[in-house]
Amino acid sequence: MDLLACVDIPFFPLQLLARRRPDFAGHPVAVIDRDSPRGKLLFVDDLARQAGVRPGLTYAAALSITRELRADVVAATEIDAGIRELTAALIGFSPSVEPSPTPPGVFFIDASGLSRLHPSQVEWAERIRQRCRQEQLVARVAVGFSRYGTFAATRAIRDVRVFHSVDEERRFAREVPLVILDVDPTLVAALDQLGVRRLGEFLDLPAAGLRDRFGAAAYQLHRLAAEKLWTPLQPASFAQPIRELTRFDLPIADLTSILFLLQQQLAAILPALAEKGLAVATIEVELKQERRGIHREELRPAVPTADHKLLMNLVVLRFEALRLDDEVSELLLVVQPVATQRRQEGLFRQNPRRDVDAAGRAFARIRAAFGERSVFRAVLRDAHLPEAAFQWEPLEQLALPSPRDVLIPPLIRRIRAAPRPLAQQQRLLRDDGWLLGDLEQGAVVACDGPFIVSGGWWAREVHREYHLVRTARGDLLWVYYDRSRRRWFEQGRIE
Amino acid sequence: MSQPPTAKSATHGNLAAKTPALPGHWSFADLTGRLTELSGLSSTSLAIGLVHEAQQRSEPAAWITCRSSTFFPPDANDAGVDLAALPVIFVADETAAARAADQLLRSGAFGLLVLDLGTHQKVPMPLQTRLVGLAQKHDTAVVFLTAKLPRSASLSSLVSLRASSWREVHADDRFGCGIEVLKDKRHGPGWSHQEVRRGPAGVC
Repeated sequence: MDLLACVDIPFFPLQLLARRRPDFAGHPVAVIDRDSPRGKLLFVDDLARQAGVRPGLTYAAALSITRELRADVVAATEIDAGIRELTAALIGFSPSVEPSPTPPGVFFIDASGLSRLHPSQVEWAERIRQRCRQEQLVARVAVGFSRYGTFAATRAIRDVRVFHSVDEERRFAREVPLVILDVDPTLVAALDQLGVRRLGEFLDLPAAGLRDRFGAAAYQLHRLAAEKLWTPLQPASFAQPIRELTRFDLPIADLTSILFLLQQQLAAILPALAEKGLAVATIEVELKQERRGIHREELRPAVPTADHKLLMNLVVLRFEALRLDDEVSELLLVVQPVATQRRQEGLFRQNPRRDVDAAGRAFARIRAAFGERSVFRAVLRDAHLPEAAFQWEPLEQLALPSPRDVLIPPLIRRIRAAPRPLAQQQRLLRDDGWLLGDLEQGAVVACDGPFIVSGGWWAREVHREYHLVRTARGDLLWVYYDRSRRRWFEQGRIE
Repeated sequence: MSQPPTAKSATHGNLAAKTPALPGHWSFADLTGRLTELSGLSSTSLAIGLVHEAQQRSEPAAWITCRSSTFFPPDANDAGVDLAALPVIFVADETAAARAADQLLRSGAFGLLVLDLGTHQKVPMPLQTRLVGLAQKHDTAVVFLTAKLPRSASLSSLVSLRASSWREVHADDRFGCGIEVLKDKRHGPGWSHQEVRRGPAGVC
């Protein structure tokens, strides 16, 4: 059987965050899904665990446990960039490296045929760990014979493990607890009640019975762990980033000159990429300033492209927003190419009048001009509090709309980004003389409610009494009384 | 349906979208190719109605905002809007909003852009000029939502249609809302539009 290595960067998004934010060192650290007090913790480090912080808590709840907590969002683009970086680093150890789509931070490497280069597999695996350490990432490496077997082993070891036979790998993997294998917690809890706690005990269960009792996902996992879904390694199609470093004889402080130089450099690089069937996935520009040090900008087109005009458009939009108040002595351009992929056209609903791909390019230009967090779509969530009933998710590509017919549409509320505290009012609401805004708006003349929203008693109790108030001017305001804070707030208005 | 200046009649919101467009009709089709400014007590509801109508015609819409509040997505979903196909662009001020609109218009990919400005109304004239040209070129409706009184001036002379919206309570959970057209370079001012809406879920 061919040798295979699994490289696992545990809690990959957390390690990326720690690398990006060295100022978090020494503090409990967490990755949150959104930058909001209601953001949910996805990963926590050991210091946070010791303080009693667990994944699944809200950021606000975690801060109430420990004020030392440091948290941030790790975007999908950052994870993708981290995977690309590490793939590039691991290709030095084997020509076939396959990043696993899920969970992020797991890589499978073809370890066969390397005995003449690396007589000791342990040494080879240690070198891989060392290389990851150079990228400021902690890795575990298992060398064996099967994907799931080596993956399970990396979860149970601290550094390196090499298996010398299939049986040895199988015996080790069978003892790995299910709870550390990224299995759905609900399934783990259900199996635990049956006394099934290890991978071997899970594999001993009849597969068909699993599907009937626990569903298709459990059945699929069983087949995966039993290597019934074997596929050959799918190595990443990878091209080395292209770096162009320019050192200026005399430092310059003129953005126009820098843009002109970038234009020339891209014009020289792109034709060669296109000939090889490559396109630009990301562009990084580093300016080394005399006093302020390195200033870095990263740009990403909507889809990888070798179109010079489109890429320069993004560069100009980003640099237009910059203020260069220090002289630049060095300019580094890093272009990350990827293999272009042909898309199958014509199977899906199209609007011949509107080009949705053009919309994606427009989004990329808007992100270049106004920042990565500027283009979103709303996603509804199942929650009681209005501000938790939806979430803004970054939007990359435009989809053609599929609206529903509605017989009588509702009036639309506007919701404030944060509820506005109102002037104090009596607990029993009076509908005369209460001034919520300016004199032009007028006092409250009528009030409907209360509409109670209550819950969260298991974590932090929330009790809000919502009212719809009408002012003298005719505004319809959406307000609530927060019983725990004993204060009135404006959630928004109907408009 | 909207009527000539001397008459008003009630309509149910979405059914109006199914009638053929007539001159002076508050509909997505009549707003394409020009700048519209809408203010008043039901401007957000009417703008979401335009988004829904544009989507029904397979015309992608986008919402650009520089305000501290936005439309409440669950209500837009209740109104039939496909939220997955509605990009929302968050920018710092009205100039950035106009620049973002410029980028979206240039793509030719959108049938409707709503610029939710509120009290941020100092959109530079050169940008407005570009938006007009692009709206005409790509047959796109550009709608500015502003917070102002009917007697206040338009954003600029380039605004082709200026309307002030109103709202009144009809009966339990029924509201009338509509517009009075203050300026219309295509059909002349003075016409109006009216429709019936229900209160948002969980409120009334």
